[in-house]
Amino acid sequence: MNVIPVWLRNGRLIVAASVVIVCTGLAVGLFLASYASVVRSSFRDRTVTYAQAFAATAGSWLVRGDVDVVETLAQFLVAGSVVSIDVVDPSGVAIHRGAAIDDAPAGTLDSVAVVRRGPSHERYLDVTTPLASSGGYVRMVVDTASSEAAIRLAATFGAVGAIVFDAGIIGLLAWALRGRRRGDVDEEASPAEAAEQVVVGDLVIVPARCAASFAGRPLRLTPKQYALLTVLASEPGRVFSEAEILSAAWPDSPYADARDIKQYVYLLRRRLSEIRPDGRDVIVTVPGFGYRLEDGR
Amino acid sequence: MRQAWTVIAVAALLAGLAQGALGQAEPPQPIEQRLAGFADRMRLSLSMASVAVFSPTVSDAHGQAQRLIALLRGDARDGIPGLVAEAALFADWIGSRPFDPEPRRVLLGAATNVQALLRLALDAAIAANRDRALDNATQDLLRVYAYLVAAWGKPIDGVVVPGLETLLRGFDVAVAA
Repeated sequence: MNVIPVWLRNGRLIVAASVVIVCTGLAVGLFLASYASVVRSSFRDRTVTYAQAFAATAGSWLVRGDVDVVETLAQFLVAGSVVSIDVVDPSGVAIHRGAAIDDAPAGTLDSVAVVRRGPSHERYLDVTTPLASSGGYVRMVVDTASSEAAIRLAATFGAVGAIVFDAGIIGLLAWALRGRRRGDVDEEASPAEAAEQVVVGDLVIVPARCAASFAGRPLRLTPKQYALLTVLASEPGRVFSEAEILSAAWPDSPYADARDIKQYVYLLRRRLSEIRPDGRDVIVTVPGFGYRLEDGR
Repeated sequence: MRQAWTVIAVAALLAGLAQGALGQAEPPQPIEQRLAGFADRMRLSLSMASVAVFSPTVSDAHGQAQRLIALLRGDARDGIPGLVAEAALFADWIGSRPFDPEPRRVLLGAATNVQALLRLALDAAIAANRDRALDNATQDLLRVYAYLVAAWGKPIDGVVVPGLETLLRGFDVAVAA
């Protein structure tokens, strides 16, 4: 008796589950990579625009000579995700607010955004943009923690979603395969039927239901195919002559002959091989004598 | 912590811009001087809103919105009037003066517009401070900016909703008359 169910032994569920898990993993991975790219790009664009807007405003106040206002606006920005801000003007104005940054600005002639790593490998966006009015520049270093947090959150949701999705799909597959197992004659037969059933290797015949299964899967047979199989299974291993088969399976058909047997053996083999490629070897032709049934394993 | 800092910073800035006009012990300022201080704070609000619109994170947008709220609503504890309240004072002042009917109508209309638009800007800033999504906060901050620009009332190709600029130009004429 097999402890492992036939459907599991055949490995269909394991293969299907593996395919689902790999496909879902790939899909979620691709989505997350794309999402992270979009989030980082969007954050970078917004930060550059933020720096440019500040540079425009700071420039207009510096033209008016209101350095105090620029200092206050810079201080306002540093209270948020901006780690540090510098306003450098050729006229001698040099405003610094926030943390000290050791690295030199990436460039001052055009808007430049560079990703830098902090001491704890945290990501910073270092943006430098020119002050249009004076030839100076504004440098803004922004903590990317919020965008990275959004990416981590998406990754968590993606992973949980993938697990739930996989579990659901695998559950459905298991249910579908279990549905197939219901057709398994050997596992669903009542005690009375089980007592009558004929088992030859992986081949099971339940006479009370005129049903047969092979390797745990139901065989869909016509009455004549079933009759032929029953004859051969009545004594597994014994060679049945064509005359014996004709009298047992075609008792009321005087016109049946060896060609009919040959055709039905062919059809039976095809049914068996549909379930398992080596199923066709279950029925063995013994040249010059007839046919016999192997045990099918 | 951030809100406390904001209040302190805005208080210090307003004190500097208003040049002591707000203290009880100071003598009352001439209306023109007060209007000039009001215009400076309007300019500061516009600067802040123009930067706030591009806030890269929700927390930045909230921080900027809080500072705009502080500027527009003021701080009653420190006796700092907000722009909304001060715009109402201008309307009251114009209403109490014996101006000629036409300048009076124009100035009163402009002061009323400024007050109404600043109140709308305050509502939008409060909404921005409550938004959880950056896009929504950005939209509300954009509304703040738009209302502040409208309150300033700069003519574009001759089209204008009378606002602060009308007050700044009209006051000299009306007061002189």
